[in-house]
Amino acid sequence: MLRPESAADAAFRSEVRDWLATHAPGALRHRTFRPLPVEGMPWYRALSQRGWIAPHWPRTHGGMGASAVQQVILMEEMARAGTPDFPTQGLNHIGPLLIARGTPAQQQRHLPAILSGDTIWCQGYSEPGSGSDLSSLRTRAEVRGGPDGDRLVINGHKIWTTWGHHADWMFALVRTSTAGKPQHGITFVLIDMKTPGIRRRPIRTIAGDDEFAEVFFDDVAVPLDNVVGEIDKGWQVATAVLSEERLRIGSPAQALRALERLRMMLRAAPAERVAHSVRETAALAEVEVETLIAAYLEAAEAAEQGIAADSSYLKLLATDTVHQLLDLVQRVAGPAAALREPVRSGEDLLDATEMFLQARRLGIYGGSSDVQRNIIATRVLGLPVAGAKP
Amino acid sequence: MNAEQSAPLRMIAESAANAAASWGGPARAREVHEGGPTWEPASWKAIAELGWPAIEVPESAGGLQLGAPALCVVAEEAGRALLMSPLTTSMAAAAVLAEGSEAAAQALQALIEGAAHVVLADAAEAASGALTAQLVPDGDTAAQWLVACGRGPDFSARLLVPGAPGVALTVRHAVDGSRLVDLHLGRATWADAPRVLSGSAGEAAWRHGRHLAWLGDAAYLCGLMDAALALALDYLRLRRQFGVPIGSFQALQHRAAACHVDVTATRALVHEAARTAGTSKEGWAAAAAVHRAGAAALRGTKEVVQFHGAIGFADEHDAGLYLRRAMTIGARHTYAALVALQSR
Repeated sequence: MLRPESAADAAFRSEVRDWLATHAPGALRHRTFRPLPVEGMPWYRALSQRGWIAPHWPRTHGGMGASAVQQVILMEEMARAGTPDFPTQGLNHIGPLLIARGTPAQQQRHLPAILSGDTIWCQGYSEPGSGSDLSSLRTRAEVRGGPDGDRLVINGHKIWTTWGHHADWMFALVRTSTAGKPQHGITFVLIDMKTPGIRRRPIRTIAGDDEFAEVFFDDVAVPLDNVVGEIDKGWQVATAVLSEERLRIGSPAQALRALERLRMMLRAAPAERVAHSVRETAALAEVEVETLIAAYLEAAEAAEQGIAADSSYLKLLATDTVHQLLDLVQRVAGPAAALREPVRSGEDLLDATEMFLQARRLGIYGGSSDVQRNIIATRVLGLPVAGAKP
Repeated sequence: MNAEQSAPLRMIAESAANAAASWGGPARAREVHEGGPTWEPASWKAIAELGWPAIEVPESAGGLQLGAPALCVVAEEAGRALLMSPLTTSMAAAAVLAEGSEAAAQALQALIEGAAHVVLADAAEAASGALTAQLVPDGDTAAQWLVACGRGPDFSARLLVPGAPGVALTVRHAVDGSRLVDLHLGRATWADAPRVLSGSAGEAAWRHGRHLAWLGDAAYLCGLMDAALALALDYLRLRRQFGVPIGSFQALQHRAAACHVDVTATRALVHEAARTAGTSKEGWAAAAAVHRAGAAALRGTKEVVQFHGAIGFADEHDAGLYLRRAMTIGARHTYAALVALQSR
C-alpha cells in the first residue's frame, strides 16, 4: 500500500503481523485451495475470536467497522503470512444483505453464527439455464398452507453453487410468479440445507478441487419467516447490496496472494534461469497491484461516505491484475509451470498450477468480465444498447 | 481522497478546468503542431497569476504551498485541455528553486510572476569535462536552466542562461510539435555558474523536484486520456454504419470499457501516489504513477484513433493531437522511472 500510515495504522499492522506469526495455521500456509471445513474452520474461528473476521461489518452487528486502510493492511499481512482462504458467502454476501434488508429476527438468528463460523453459507442463484441472464431463473416456489402455518415449497435445480455441498444454509432466488417482467415474481429466501428434499452433488473444477456443487430441490418446505423482503420482490433484495458485493469481489486480497506467490517463485527460481526481462516485468506487476489498491481505497472510501462505487470497473481491474500476476508466475516457474505437484520455495511447498487454474473463476463468477464490460459501456459510458429502438 | 481533502481539491480542479480550457484546447495544440510556440508571454502571465507554477512553493517564498495532490489536480485539468504551456516542468522547477540558495531567488521570482520559465536538466559529465543533457522538454523557450550533475557530496545544481558563452543548445522537434533540447556545456562555463543546490541535501531537493515532475506529467496524462476517451465516446454514439450507431457494437463497447477501466484506475494510482510526497515512498510511487500513466495514455489514445477509423488517421482530426501528445509526455521519464521501479 502506498498510503502513508498513521501511527495508529502502523501499530495495527504490527499487531496483526505479530498475531499472525503465532496464530496462522502453519500446515495450511500458502495453500491455494480453500481447506475443507474440518481443516479450515478452526482458523476462521481463531480470527473470529480475535475480532478480525469481519473488518467491513459495522460494529453494531459485531464487525470491526475497520477503515478501508485497515482492511488493506489485514489483506496485505494475511497474504504475506500465507493464511488460507475461508468461505466468504456469509461474510461478504448474505451478512451485509441481512444487515441492510433482514428482519431483526433474521439478523439475530443468522449474523452471530456467520461471525462465529457456526454456519457456512452458499448462494443459490445460478441455474442450468440461467447464468448471465439470471432473471430467467425457473426454480419454482409455491406458497402452501401447512400445520405450522404457511410455507414456501421449492422445486428446481441450482448449479455452480460455491461450497454448496459443505454449506449449512443457502440464500436463494426462486420464482414465485411468472406474471410480468422476468425480474418480477422472484423471491429471496433462506434455506436450511438439512431440510428434507434437498440433494447435492459436488462438481470438480478445472483446477482439480470440489469448489462448487449442484443442488436439487424436491418439494422442499421453507417457513415464510425465511423470506427476506416481500414475496415476488426478491430481485430488489438481491441487488440492494450489489455495489458493496462487487467492492468485496474487487478487493486486492486475491491479487496480494498472487503477488506473494510471484515473489516466492522468484526467490525459488534459479537466478541464472530467470531472464532480466522477467524480473523487470515482475517490478511492473507491483505497479499493477498498487494501482488496484489505490482504486480499491478510492471506491471503499467513497462507499464509507455513501457514494456508490463504480464497482464493475473494480471487479474487472482486480480480475485482470490477478491474471497478469499469475501469467508471470507461470513464466517464472519455467518448465515447472506444467507440474501438478508442488515446487519447493524455502520451507514452503507451492503449487505451480492450482492458483493459475483456479483464478479462471474470477472472470466468471459474480457477473462475468464480459457482462461487466457491457454494464460499463451502456450504464457508465452511455453507449447505445444493441437492438434497442432508436 | 478523504472527506477533508476532497472538497478543496474539487474546487481547485473546477477553477483549473476553466482556466486550462481558455489557455489550452485542441485548437491551441494544433497551432503548436503546426510550428507555433508552446510558451508565449501573455498566456504564461495569466497562468502564473493563478499561482500554478508556484503551487508547491512555500508560502514564505511567495508560493501557494498546496501540496502534491493539488499539483496533480491542476496538471490533470491541463492535460484534459491539452495545454501545451510548460506547466509541469515549471511546477517542478519552482519547487526545486525554492529550496535553493540566494542565487535562485531571481529565477524563482520570475517564474512566480510569470515573466519567464525555467527547466530542470540532469547532465552527465563527458571525459572532456564538458556536460551534456539530452532531450530536455520545453528547453527552447526557457529563460534559465537549472542543471544538475554529480552524486552525494559531489552533487551540485547550477543556473545557466541560454546564449551565454559556453552554453550550446540544439533544438529537436517532438512529434506533438513541442521542442526538446540537447544541452552542451563547456567545463569553464559550468564551473563559473552560480550554485543553487549542493551536496546530499541539495540532491534530495533535486530528487523531490524530479518526483513532482513525474507526478505532474502522470496526472496530465490522466486528464489527456479522459478527454480523448470522451471524444471517442461522442463519435461512437453519433457515427452510424449498417443503420445503427457504431457504439452499439459489443466489440467496440468492450474496448471502450477497457479504456475506461484503464483511465479510472490510473487516476486512482496517481492521486494515491501524490499522497506519498514527502515520505520515503515518494520516489517509487511517483515512478509507478508516471510509468502506468505513460503506458495507459498510449494504449488509450491509440484506441481513440482506431475508434474513429479513417478520419482518426487524418491529420485534420483532433484524435491525433491526443495520441502525439501522449507519445511526447509519456516518453519523458521512461528510463528514470524504470530504474526507480526496480529499487523498491
